[in-house]
Amino acid sequence: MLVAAAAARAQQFEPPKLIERVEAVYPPEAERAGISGAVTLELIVDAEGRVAEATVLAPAGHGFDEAALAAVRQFRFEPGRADGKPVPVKVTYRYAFTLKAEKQATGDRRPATGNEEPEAPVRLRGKVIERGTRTPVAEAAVIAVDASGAPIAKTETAVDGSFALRLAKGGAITVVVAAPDHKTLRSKETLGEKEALTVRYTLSRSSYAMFESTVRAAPAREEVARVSLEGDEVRRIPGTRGDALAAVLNLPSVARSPFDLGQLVIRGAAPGESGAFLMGMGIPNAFHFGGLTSTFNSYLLDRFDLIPSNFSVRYGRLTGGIVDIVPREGRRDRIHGDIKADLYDAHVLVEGPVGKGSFALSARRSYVDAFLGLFFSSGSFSVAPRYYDYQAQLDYPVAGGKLKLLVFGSDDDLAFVNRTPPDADPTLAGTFSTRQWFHTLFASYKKNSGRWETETTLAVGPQHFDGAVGEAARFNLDLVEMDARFEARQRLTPRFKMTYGLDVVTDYYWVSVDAPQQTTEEVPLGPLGERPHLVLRNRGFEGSPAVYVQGDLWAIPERLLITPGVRADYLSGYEGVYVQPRLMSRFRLRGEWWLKAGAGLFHMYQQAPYADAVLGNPKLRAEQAWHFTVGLDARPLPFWRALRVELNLFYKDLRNLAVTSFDNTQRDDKIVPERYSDEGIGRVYGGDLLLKVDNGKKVYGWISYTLLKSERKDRPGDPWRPFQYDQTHILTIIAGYHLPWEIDVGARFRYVTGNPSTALGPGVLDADQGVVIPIPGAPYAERLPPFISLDLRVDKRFTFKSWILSVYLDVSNVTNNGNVEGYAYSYDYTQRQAVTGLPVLPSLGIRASF
Amino acid sequence: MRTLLLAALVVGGCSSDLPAASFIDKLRVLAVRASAPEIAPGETTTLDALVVEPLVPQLDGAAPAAPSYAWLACALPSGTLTIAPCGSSGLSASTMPPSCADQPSAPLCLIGTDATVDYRADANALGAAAATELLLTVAVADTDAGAVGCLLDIADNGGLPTNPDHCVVALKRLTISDPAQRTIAPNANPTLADFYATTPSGFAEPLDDGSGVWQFAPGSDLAEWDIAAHRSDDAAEKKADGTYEALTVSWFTTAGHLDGGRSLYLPPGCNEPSSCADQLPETGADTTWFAPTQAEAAPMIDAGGLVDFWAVIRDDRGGVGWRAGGLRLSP
Repeated sequence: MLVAAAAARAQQFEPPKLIERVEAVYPPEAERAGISGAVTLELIVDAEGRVAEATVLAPAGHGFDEAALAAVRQFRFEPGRADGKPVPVKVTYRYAFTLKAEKQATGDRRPATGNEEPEAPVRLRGKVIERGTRTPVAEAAVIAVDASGAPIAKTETAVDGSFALRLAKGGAITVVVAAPDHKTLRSKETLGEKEALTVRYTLSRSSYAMFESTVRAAPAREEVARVSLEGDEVRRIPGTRGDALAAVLNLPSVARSPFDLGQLVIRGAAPGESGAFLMGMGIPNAFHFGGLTSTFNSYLLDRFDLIPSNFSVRYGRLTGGIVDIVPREGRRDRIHGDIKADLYDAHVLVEGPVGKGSFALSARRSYVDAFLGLFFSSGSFSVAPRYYDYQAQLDYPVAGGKLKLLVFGSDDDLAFVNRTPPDADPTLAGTFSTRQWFHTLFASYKKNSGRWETETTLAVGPQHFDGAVGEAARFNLDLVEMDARFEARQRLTPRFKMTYGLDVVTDYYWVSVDAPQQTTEEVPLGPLGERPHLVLRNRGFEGSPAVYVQGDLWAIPERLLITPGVRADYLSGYEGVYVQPRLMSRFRLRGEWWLKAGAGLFHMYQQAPYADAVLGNPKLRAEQAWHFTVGLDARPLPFWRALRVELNLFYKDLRNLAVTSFDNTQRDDKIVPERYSDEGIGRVYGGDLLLKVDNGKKVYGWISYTLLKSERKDRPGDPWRPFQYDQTHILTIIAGYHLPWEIDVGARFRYVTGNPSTALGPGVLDADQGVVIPIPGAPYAERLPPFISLDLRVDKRFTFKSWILSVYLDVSNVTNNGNVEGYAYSYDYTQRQAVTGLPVLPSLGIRASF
Repeated sequence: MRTLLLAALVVGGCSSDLPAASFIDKLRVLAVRASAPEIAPGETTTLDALVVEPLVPQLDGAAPAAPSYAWLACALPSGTLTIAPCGSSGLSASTMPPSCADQPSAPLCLIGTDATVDYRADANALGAAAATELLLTVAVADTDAGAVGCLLDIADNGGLPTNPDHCVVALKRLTISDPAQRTIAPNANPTLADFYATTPSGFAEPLDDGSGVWQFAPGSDLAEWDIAAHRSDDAAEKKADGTYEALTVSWFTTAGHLDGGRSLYLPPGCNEPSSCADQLPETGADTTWFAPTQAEAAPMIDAGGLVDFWAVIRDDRGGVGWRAGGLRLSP
């Protein structure tokens, strides 16, 4: 069984192990003819150990090919692992049919790569590692040549880089060590006659370009649209400072948020309607300060998946999109470390083996206050923001399964004092602060038992969020959240799998609010002192269980996959159980051309505080959305398989959206302000296109284009209007190139249609407050100018024997384009001035890894 | 909360070239006062407004003209998110509201058209309630059509002001309370005990007795003056919950510019009134006035070189008071 060389580029690689072999049926035709044969096949073993694809490389005819294919497709493997993480691997398998009296066929495996067994004694032994990373180099050829250059002995290194070379006699030899993607090493050695010589060879890679991704076979993905980006390839995107979650904002159907704060606006949904997940559980706070940088250290990220809509029944309580973060395991070959610092923060990361498992520890702290102080210049401001986050991770095999423990915490703190209230709003004086922290233990246990796979995940920990907006508002929330998920997957037949799941979210909370009534997005923000002031003090318990069932059926093997599912959510505070059917399918046109389609129903809570009994309207119904998507996923160029094209067309129907109400209503026998109604509806339609280069050696990048309309209708009879984040055109072009001398350059160009805007006009003076109340124009009848930006990044690596030093310069908005993010108005709203986003912003970083 | 914080940062943190509220370059209503701001049903309160106009040509080049007034009273809807001025819809020349003196209980009535008017609250305004609020509206215009014409234009235009530089509409809430159900004395308007400027060299110049003088800033350097106003001893009243009223003072001038158009009367060590409302606020508040250079001042001051200043003190229950003054250009 030969393993794809690309997979061996990982620091540590374990090939798949066959654990369940199915006997092929001896072809009757061949049996009658008394014929034996052998079929050589290429198998793609996926990350779950199943044979995702099987192709005949060397046919044998006589029915042997079909019989072998039918058998190998039922094989089960212990999946291959790269750096401890299950990965798809391409293997070559030879199935031999031997005509015996019992008329049984046997499989025949080629011996795994490793040492041959000549009869001569071992005279040279050692290890081959990679310069800089100290990673063992597997499958490197170690060849002894004589003075004339003729080979006299040969072997290959094992998975751990070790080798043992047998020679008939000692003496002076030249050892040649060669491995794919590495520079060949030649070393003269003198071998003794009695004792073996022990050596250590260090090979330099031909290229240390970190965006060479492991070749991954296209998995049988259930979602209609799922874009996966791996940690290495996203950490080099210009303008993102290496933040992997910021890379999400460069993918199709993801809108750009004002000031490039990391709000997740996915496929026309509001930020609160989408969510970020870690190990399938919600993350309390995905971004520091609402979008400066992600709370999860990008260097501990294996990959993340963006599912912009039509996500499976595994996810619920959302009507927008999903970002699922997949952490990687700590490396197990030896202790590794990573230290990085740039203008905004610094991190330290340590990882390594522990017993049969691995650990990883990371800590990061900001010093961003110096940066923010340059942009908030008012005589009365003193800004002191800071954030930190940490992850402590343990992966360990237990009782035949895999246990993962992850402690993940984050803390953001910002406070400043404004003694001079602005003309527009006198309540904006005093202390402005926000403090948000969480400390969560994630625990996950996965086990395969025959045809069953089970996965149990818990997430538990305290969270805190408080804030003050001068005299206008105070807010404090403490809660202890405990979430659990149990999922069981049963393979009933090679073509049919069932998934059963239970998913519970609970929290005990204490909340205190003193704030003006919040309005929904179609009502512009005016002087906060003009709004009714509301007070809430409450504590309680909320629990929302859900169950789900999903089937994965290859109606036509390798051609048509149908995935029906249903999820039932009980949303605490709402009457009834919400049953949400969802259907997805993929159809292979030919080769790697797939047609996809999906339809599904989704429900979620109304966003806080719309349905609160004191701050809002407790009669609101849960939000509802229907998603419909069709798409095409292909690698259209046989001569350039790295190019991937994904095209999607989508439509979403949104119901029960909260809108601000100016009416009164009767509640508990009293006439009270209604505050919100759920009469709002919405629709989102359009398409997106992704052209991406996977596994690029010299070049990487993608082009992402979205054409989208997101509209809302606030009340029956109202006309359709643009949604707050409706961006008709979203174009992102990312390109990177690996130059000689270990230099990488990259660029990112963005063109985004400006956000809709509501003009404010001169109104009336509130003489009691001394402020003018503006009169808004039609909601979002205007549009800001388009956003255009070019970012550049340069990386340079210095590779030493046992460590690597990297420096980078990342410059956002190189052309210093004054992109308009909104408008500031004069005190009487008779004049306005554009508020532009961040100017050219350089970030210099340095990183040492060993 | 993040939206509020971001909006606050944008509103408060961005310096701009937009005109400051503290600079008077056109017709403005700086305050509306009801004496007393809290009355009983059947009682009368006197209404007046601090209306200012620069003595030099207006922002749009129009010559200053004498203002006209129109006062209206109407019911104030409770708990609503937006407040529209009285008469913003349904008002027309043929449907002018009745006089409040004749029909005090009318949902909309005309109080008067003088600069100072008296309003008598309907004797049955409360019913069984302990207190209610009434909405007062004053339109001030220096156009030929006058304040009434201004209100009619607004009503015709769907509630949108048509000439905001020459017609200002202001709202004020009047509290009507039952004396028998009051737990504390009715609210009174706060007053300022003094109003003065301190020269860059440290001399105090009174603002409200006409004797104060100023000089152009030398060369291009900015001359910094301190403008201060002390509240009267009885300005900070205690509310029903035992806390003190939050007092603010707004500053205005017709030349130069002020560093911040509003100041707070805060107890020592406090950043915002709400966090130490149980403490008596300090008596003084001040701001910085940057006197103009000669070139800057030329289009802004009259031939007499008079720079006008106003200080308006407000409490958080609708009470208001003010002082006016000025400095003459030193010969």
